[in-house]
Amino acid sequence: MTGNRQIVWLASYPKSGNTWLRLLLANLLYADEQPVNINDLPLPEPRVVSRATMDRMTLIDSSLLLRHEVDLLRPDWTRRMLAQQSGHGFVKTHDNYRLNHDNEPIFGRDRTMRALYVVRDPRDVAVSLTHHYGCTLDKGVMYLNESSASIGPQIKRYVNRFDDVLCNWTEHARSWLEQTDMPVHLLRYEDLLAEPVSTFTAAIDFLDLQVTPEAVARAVRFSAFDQLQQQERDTGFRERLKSSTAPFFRAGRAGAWSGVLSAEQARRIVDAHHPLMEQLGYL
Amino acid sequence: MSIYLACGLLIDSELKLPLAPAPVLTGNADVRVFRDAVPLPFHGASDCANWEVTDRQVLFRVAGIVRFVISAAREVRFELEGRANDADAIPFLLSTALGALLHQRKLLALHAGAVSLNGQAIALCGPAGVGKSTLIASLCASGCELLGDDVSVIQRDASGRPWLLSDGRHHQLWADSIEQLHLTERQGPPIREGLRKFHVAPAKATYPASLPLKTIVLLRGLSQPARSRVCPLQPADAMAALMRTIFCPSLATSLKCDGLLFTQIAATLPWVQVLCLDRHSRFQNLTNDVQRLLEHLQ
Repeated sequence: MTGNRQIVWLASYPKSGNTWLRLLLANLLYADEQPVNINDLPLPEPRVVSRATMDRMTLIDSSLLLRHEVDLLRPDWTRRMLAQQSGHGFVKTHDNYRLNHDNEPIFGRDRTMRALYVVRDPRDVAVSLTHHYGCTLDKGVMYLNESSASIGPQIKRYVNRFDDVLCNWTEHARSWLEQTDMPVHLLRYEDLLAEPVSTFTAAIDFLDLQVTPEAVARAVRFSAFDQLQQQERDTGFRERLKSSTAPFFRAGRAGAWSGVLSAEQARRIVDAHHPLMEQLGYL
Repeated sequence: MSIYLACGLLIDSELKLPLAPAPVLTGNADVRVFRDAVPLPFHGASDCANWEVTDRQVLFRVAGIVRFVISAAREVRFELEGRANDADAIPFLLSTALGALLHQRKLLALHAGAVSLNGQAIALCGPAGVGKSTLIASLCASGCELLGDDVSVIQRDASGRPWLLSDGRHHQLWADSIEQLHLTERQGPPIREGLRKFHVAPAKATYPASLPLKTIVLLRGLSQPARSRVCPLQPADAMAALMRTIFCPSLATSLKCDGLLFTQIAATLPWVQVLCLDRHSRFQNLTNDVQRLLEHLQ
């Protein structure tokens, strides 16, 4: 069933615009007269990072596996699940791109795979993380700067997805942008905010999606932040964490960190990520 | 070999299991667990190459760790893979392999932990991650006693009355729950080396192997913060919900057990109350949730 299959990994560090990108794609491909329901996205998503789905398919209680064992098994699980897939499949992931102990990409190898990688100024990410996880700003900064060497080797509570950030912000972005296993297109969150139509159109072109400019404009309109905030106010948003201290669609601004982070906190982020921040135009 | 009692079965096992030992063995064990060659590859009808079901056998593999053949409802052969050791294989024996065995024996097995209260059993069901074990540990701190951690077999006696058969296991809790519930002193070894999920000793060293089943509680997670609620389920809704809590449901379907399980649940329902507990699984809410549930259970 590989004929017209295309698997698109929607990859990002957490709180960098991944959900917004999915909403743009859903509103582009599946909206009718109304914006799509944020709690019931019609975007086809092969459930290759869903623990419950994989457990059902393999009969393995994956919570009994260590992280490196899950990474070893994921390429095969993904291959089996994608064998049933036709058409487009969009998979959100916060995984850093990595190889398992067999030197296989944990995402598997599939010639139809492509990736959209969304990146956002890490200083804004730190503020957003703080609201999302209900933690202090210092902890948000620490999370962002934590290297793979200092992250705990195993999960300490049940989580319903396999994807996991096992490195810091720079390592995460570089892992995707420097891998050569699948074509990857970079989107900056700030460009999506400032120039949504042209930035989104470039991503659509990368995916070879045949759509009209009117459809793109409508998707951008339907995915505007005030639309998303209104839907969240009306019905809640299921991806909002229980520990969050603010709505999921909170501010949707670029550069808001300057009024929130102390000079010392901002400096710690810049010190840790200076080369990549400069390369991506954040400095 | 040691003999254990789990889910009403006497298990004679070459693997040293974290289960209640059988009190006295009279006659033969119901099940033998032993090391043997388990061939590869599996060529089954299933689209998953790591398991297959035939008339008499279930084959199940966790690549890099262990392969099992569960035969004729009374034999579990296992072969380790790679550098795995016996301790690595045990959790998979006590989950999927045990599930296969129970379905081969045509038993009604729910994915449920259990507690006892006033000499009767209460089963707590729900999908992985919904907080069953944490709620059970919290109920045990509020007057209930542990009866089982993960699998509850329900069997009816000659009068038709349903009994819950304990899986013989202690609490198994994630590090996070142990910390939040202040159970560090009772924390035992990890379920597997390296895993941050641990055996936790119950408050009482021994507990009954079976008790009459009084209540089944279905746990459902609320995605938004809200006050938890307990409500009774009507039989038709309870029927549908309990079919979704069958342990290892894909195996039950492959072994053509669904019809029988439906009949077994239908025969159980007139004897028990089925409650639904909708809760937002924050530790801060746990005490209130337990109190609210206990009001319905008393």
